[in-house]
Amino acid sequence: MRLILKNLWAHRKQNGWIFAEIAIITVLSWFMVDYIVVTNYGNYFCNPAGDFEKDHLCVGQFGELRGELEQELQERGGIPYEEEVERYQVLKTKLQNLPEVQSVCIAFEYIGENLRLYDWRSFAPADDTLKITSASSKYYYPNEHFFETQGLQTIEGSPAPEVLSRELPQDAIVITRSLAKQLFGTDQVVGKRMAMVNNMYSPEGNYYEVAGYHTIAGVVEDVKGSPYERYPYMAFVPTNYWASNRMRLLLRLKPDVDAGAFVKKHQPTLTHDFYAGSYVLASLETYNQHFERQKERNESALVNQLATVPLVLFAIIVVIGTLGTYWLQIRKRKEDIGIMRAFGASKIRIFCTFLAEGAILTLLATLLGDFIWLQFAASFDILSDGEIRGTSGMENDWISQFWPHFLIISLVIFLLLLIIVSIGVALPAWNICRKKIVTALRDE
Amino acid sequence: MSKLLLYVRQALALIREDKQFSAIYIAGTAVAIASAMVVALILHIRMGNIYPEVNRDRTIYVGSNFTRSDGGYIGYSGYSPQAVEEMFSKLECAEVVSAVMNTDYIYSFTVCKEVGKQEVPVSAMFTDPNFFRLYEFKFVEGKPYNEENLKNADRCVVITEALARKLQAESGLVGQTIQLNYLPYRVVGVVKGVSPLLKETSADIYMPYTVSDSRSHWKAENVTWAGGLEVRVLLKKGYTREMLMDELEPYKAKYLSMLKSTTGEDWNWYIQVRPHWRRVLNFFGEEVNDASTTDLLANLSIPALFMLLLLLLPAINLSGMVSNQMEARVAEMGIRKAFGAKKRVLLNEVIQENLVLTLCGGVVGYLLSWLFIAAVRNSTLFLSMFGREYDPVDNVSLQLDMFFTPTLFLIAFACCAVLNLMAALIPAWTSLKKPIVESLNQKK
Repeated sequence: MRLILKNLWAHRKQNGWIFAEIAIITVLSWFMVDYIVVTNYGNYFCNPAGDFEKDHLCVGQFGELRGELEQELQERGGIPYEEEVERYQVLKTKLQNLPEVQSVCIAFEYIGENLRLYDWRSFAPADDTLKITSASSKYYYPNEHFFETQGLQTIEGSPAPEVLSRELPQDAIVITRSLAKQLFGTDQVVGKRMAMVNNMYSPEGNYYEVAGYHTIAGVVEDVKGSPYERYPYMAFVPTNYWASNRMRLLLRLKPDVDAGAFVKKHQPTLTHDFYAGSYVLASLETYNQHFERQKERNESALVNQLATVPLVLFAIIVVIGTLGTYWLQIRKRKEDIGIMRAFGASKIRIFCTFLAEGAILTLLATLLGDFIWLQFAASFDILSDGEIRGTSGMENDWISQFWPHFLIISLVIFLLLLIIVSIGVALPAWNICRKKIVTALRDE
Repeated sequence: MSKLLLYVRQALALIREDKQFSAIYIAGTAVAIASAMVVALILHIRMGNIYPEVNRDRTIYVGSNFTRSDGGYIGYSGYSPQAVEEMFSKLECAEVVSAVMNTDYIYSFTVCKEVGKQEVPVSAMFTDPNFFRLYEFKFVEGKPYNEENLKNADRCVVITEALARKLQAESGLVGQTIQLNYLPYRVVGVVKGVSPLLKETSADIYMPYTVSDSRSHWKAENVTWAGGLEVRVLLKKGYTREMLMDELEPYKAKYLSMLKSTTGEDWNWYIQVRPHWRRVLNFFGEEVNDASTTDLLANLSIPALFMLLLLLLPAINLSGMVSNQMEARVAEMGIRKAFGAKKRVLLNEVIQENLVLTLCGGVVGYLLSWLFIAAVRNSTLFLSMFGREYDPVDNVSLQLDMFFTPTLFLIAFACCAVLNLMAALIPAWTSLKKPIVESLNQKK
């Protein structure tokens, strides 16, 4: 250890530059690494156990074929509402009658439909409207087999999915187990009342206002509104608002049917096989295809990529920096290395000494960088919360607490930089260690 | 000149003498220049004069916002065809005025040669014939639709070469009919395609705004000049945005007084007049009608600072390396100083020698930046920088004028010069400050 520190001090002028660079990069990396770690923690480590089955789901979109019928449409001033509903139902029945299909539903919204625009609202128990939790909320049409088709499972003590999909009282709401526990401390909440709360803005400050009360009709197993969310807080609200441009089709296939093959079989002839008047089934794809595309276009995915670009650049800069510095430094130390080898030091030992020098340099520089960052973090609320929207603010995981959050991200940054610096040090160090003792001494 | 040649010869000798150092130095410089030039290239693609938007420096985008005296909006951010006819077509300072339908609300389109044949998803733009005068499209075949077509709402389209190829008709498509969303349209022209990175003009298909979609006729109930058209004005040479604003003022006053007499209430009318650069560069989010040169410089300072930061980190690396190299040349410098060479002359020499290395790295870096953009052009992240994140395109074409302009070359050279100064100045000066005796004693 003494030798390592002595070597670092002896070459302080050259090491000073790389030290300064690592310290600056530590400070700059904090913004990106913090966001990426927190967001991806939500994506990969916070997946609810009761998530719905996606492999046998397909999604379809309605379209309108106006060719020859346009004249008639113009004369009639558009299709009347009842006729429109009837045509959608005819299309739905055609799909329902396919032997591969288990259930079909006309959906107003479904989980994973449009991750970019997913909606979230604030909820609270009816008797304590200050205990607010934000949750992703989705509207669904009653009597459309929504819960069975989406594949949502109800918990013990709650009515079955088939029951929840039927006509419910107007103020009914269905929530996930975690949201129930967060609001009421228990998941046995069927029949309890909860409030939908609006966050209002005014010049005097923000305040909350109750927008309406709901009776909990059922509780489903945890699902997340978006993959980047950390907590599975979701609410499903029945609606009768018939918006033809918002309507989609969800299809659940039988367990032995391959969704990819099903889509491939029907896609080429969609508009010919599935039509009702001028309405057609314009597109059909597997849920997984659709979901992956949504995920790719999700804002979080974009920010994730955007944050990764400078990190990769920093990595290249540090590798080149350490590579250059150590290449030149090691060349000057050929004589030392030759003497050390002559006195019995093994190649591996010398190689490890160089790596340890790099590690100590990185440790000291990241400590300085973290210390500088801490000055900001302690004064301003700059620790990242990732892409979270659904939260009560009372969760106690590591992200929500200052010190665990700060220490974990500091450690991640240190490990990343350690790997990068080690790559930069290893190449020249191994190069010199391979040389014969005589060559090393003679070169000098 | 002979002195410059001497520096170059000296630099080449140094490169030959220490190839490893030179290779790492050039690699470090290349990374720095490449990262800075990627920023410059993105900015150039967004702001520069590029086919067919070759007059971006003279193009003004005019929006509108009518509000009632109680602050209520009417919900139209553009103009009606009547406003284009009665106000914009009479402007003195305008060389060309074009009205383009606001495409934010446009649904998806598919094209096929006949119903039932393979459908191609396409992007569409609804324009007037002047659009093809304002932007200098190259017609491979046919010509644009005309005023008559616009007036009669003829179903005619101009398509791109790429779409013609997709429809398996290399040539001879003009005069033929294609199916757009199951309706027949006559092809009147085929143009050379526009890169999807140019959002204002890029589409697969262009058609008169009066066709098919009633939104082009949007008119507020009482406010007859408000509608769904965005007006784009090409200023005559020598005219400025401020002159255009002055010219619009009397029309504004006259229309507002007429509006008051017909509706019986006071109206506010905010005319948004944005030059092209303001549309793509607005870091401060201030009043959009402030588009002065100072404002432009303030907005450009952000990417400039970012580029400087991208140069700074590698510069620290390079400083470390130059410092190492200067260490090795201390004795040489000592001898030269002993023979009367001035510090300033020696410093100048070191910096110029170093510039040769930096320029070599600059050339590699410039090439790397092109390769990088070519490699990532289809990624969602890259597209998001051009406002294309939510309507991704299959294959983004790049144009030569995106990469080759004197401005870009100058920026690249300036980056090299700045990087060179940042990297060499401090280590060279520190080294040259040493007393002659100490320098001569350094290497016995």
